[in-house]
Amino acid sequence: MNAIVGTLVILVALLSVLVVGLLRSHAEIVRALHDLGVNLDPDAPDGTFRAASPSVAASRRPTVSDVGPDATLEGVALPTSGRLVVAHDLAGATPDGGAAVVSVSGRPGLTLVAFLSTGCGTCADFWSAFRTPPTLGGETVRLVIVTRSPAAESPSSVAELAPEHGLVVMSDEAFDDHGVAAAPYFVLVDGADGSVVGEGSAAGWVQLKALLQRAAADAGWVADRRSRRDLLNAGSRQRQVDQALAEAGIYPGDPSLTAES
Amino acid sequence: MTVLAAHGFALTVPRGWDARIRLPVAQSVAAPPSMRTEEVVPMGGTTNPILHATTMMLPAIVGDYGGGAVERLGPHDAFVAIVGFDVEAAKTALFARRGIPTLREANFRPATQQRVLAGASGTQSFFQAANRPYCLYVVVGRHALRRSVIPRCNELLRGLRFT
Repeated sequence: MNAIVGTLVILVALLSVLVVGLLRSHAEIVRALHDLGVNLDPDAPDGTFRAASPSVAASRRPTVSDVGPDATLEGVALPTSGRLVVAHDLAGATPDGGAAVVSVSGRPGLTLVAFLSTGCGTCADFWSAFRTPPTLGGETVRLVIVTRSPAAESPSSVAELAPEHGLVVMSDEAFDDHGVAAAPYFVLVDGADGSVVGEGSAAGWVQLKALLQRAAADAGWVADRRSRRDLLNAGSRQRQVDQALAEAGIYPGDPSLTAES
Repeated sequence: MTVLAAHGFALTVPRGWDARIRLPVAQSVAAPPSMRTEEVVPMGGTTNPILHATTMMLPAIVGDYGGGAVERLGPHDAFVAIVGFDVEAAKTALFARRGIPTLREANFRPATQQRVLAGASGTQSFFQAANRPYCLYVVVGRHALRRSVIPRCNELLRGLRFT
């Protein structure tokens, strides 16, 4: 009898050690995945984005050591390593054969710099979404799309996808200046001083918009005469409704708004 | 500062300016839906090189002479357009002046705008450079404040070369 009890005790002890080992291994795997940018929390937004405090954002410009590895995960680029920085002016060719310089500082409002490619599958959602001017907190955000230079991207393909309202600059230098390893990647810039409010990527526009909104709020960015609550709540229900309708292609005067069922 | 070069322009862009050089393609003027005509629609706009620069955010779509942009100028903003003309025009008296002019306060008048905007003013000059004719058209957002804006415009123009 004692031998049986003793054997069972040893067996339970061994199983306990095994379970603890498995749990520890699982935790290490989850931690490793998190470090790679994968968040297994089902409630977490589908993207990799981070906000910058204004003081950190304005602290310094990027160096080579700030640039992260050329890593993507399911088409979503990871934020560059190192601290967030001041955005650089964007200069390069335009899809129509011209050239442009876009200054991202010294002007009011937010500028969304979208690093996109014509060939990446994840980018397709953003090209499509940007046919409607992007908004944040109910306010239109200036959109500047950056692609690789004409040596790497077809200008005619870019022109075909480019929204009418958004400036497009084709520049490898802009990718390098901002440490962007892979598209899609986004940098939200406060035009007042050119500081980076947030940067990162997401799997789609809906997810990115939520991340941008959070980054703007975290950075304490508040538009003129607008409270943080307004920024987060899109000002008013009326504005939210108008925005949702506009995103669905329904504008004031649309027959569907007055049609009788 | 960044150097922007295309279509015969080489512009050193001072910090705080947006600038774009383009060579427009011939486009038909969109007929209003109510027109319902089979007539040949006239062609609109120049097909010569255009340089636009502004101290504000340059919109994606801007008319040759700033339509779509000048309406958004703030009190301390300026819009500069350099519009190329057909090479043959360089032989005419209108383009006899050689080299890009320096802007002066006296050049600006509220009436010198393609479409008069309250409070704003503009100036227009014709010249030739590198044997090509150009028009310089500048609008400042607030006529009363032009003294503070014109030096910035002249700084921009000093950085322009014709190739």
